[in-house]
Amino acid sequence: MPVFGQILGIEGTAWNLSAALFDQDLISLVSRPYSPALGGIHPREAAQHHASVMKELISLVLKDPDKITGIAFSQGPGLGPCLRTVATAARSLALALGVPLVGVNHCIAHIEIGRFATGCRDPIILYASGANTQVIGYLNGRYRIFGETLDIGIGNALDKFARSKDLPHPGGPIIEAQAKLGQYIDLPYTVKGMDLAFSGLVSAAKDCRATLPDVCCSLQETAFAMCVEVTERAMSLAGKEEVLLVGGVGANRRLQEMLRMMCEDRGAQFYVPEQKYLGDNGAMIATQEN
Amino acid sequence: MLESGSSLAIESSQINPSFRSDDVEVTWQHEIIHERPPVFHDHVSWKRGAEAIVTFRNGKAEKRRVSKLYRAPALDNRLITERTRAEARLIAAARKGGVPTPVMSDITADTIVMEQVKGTLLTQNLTESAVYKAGRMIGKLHISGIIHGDLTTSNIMLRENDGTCVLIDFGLAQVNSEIEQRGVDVHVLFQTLESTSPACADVLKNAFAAGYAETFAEAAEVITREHEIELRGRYL
Repeated sequence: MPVFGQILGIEGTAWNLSAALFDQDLISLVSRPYSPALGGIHPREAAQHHASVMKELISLVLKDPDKITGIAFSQGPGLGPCLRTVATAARSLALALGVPLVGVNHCIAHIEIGRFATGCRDPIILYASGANTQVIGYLNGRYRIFGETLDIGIGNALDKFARSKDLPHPGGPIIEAQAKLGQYIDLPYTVKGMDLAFSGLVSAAKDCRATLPDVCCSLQETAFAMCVEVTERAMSLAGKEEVLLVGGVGANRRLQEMLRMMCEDRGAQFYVPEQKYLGDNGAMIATQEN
Repeated sequence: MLESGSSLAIESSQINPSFRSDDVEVTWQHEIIHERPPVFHDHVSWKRGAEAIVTFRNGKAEKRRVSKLYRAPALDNRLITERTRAEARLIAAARKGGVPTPVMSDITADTIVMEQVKGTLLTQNLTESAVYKAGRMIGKLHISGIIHGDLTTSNIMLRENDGTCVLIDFGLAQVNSEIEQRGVDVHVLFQTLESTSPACADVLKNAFAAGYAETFAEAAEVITREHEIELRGRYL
């Protein structure tokens, strides 16, 4: 592997502005998440937040500018205003330091940091985050999308439900805690071939009269079973023997447990990176291709 | 990316809010080929799919849905029973509509016993003429008010004696005549064409659309909707 020295990566596709320094391994990682006072992410406000903390964030990571050999930034997909803020900062840094600029695909960055952190080789990837829910696998020189959500991302689905019940943001961890106290009741289960849809499930969960723990439990059981089913279908179709879980919703222990059980049943291997590499982070932008 | 020489000039470093993972050429990873031969014992062989085990015995295929440990037991039971029952009903309905399917002989809560179709999967024989025939067949299926729900190239077979397209695995099929659902069906098929045969996906899609339009009057509307679904499903 050629040695390129230190790469500075900046991630800022949505809620989290994060920068990291990466050489053969992670040197430093600093994040300044935007958390809305009320409701969900407002793209313009998120971008303004990123702009206001950018300077501080970069100065915390950039200790020795002479050692930097490249600037990597999240080029997309994401919220336009946030992406533009990050790209502007990355361009200025690349020009000021006279080093190459590298645009990184956010989804692939999640996958590559996951592969780096877990050592898996050729997995089917379940990428479950706020805005994205995709089942991806490497085939013929590209990361192909085998299945994905037809409406909203799974994290967004959980957050929408949480907001309707006046639970604070982010909703995922609270739903996870409540679900442990609840029992399963029937909710709509929507898998269309390799694709999923969450909006009907969320509407039904919002309108459900059962106790909060029961609805949380059922919402999780249903949404996660849908994701695991599509992941298993993709493994079967592509003939792959590994599963890698990435994205912020990957922090959920129940989702991890369900994927692990599915893999054990098939004689496959399950991988999930440590928490700091699961959600959006600067390290994944700096590490790609290592 | 730096290693593979794909650094950007400042002028061409525009952001891309709907940047897809399959837009990126992956130059740092090499394909690993997996091979899993089917298991044969005497005159019995079996195949394990994602949700069921199909055992082939004396010219019959027995499809049994297996419990998934990861699912809540109530959800697991519900999905297995509902899907087995629905599948049997829809195979019969599709045959009535002129779609070649396997012939069923017995049904229980988790198992359907049917004829074993002899031939190859469409996945293994992705030619224009085969995909065109598949299009004609799916046109008939949609006229009958049925959605397949899992229209991948592994669920279409070509009979060995006469090359007829046979539709198998109605596990996720449903009775539905909405343009939207038909569009999703076609979208699922197009996605498997793209993921398994990226180089000639467009040619195959056109072949499918030609066959589909021959047997089904509303075909153009469905193909338009398929395109909309493709755009809509993306991160925007």
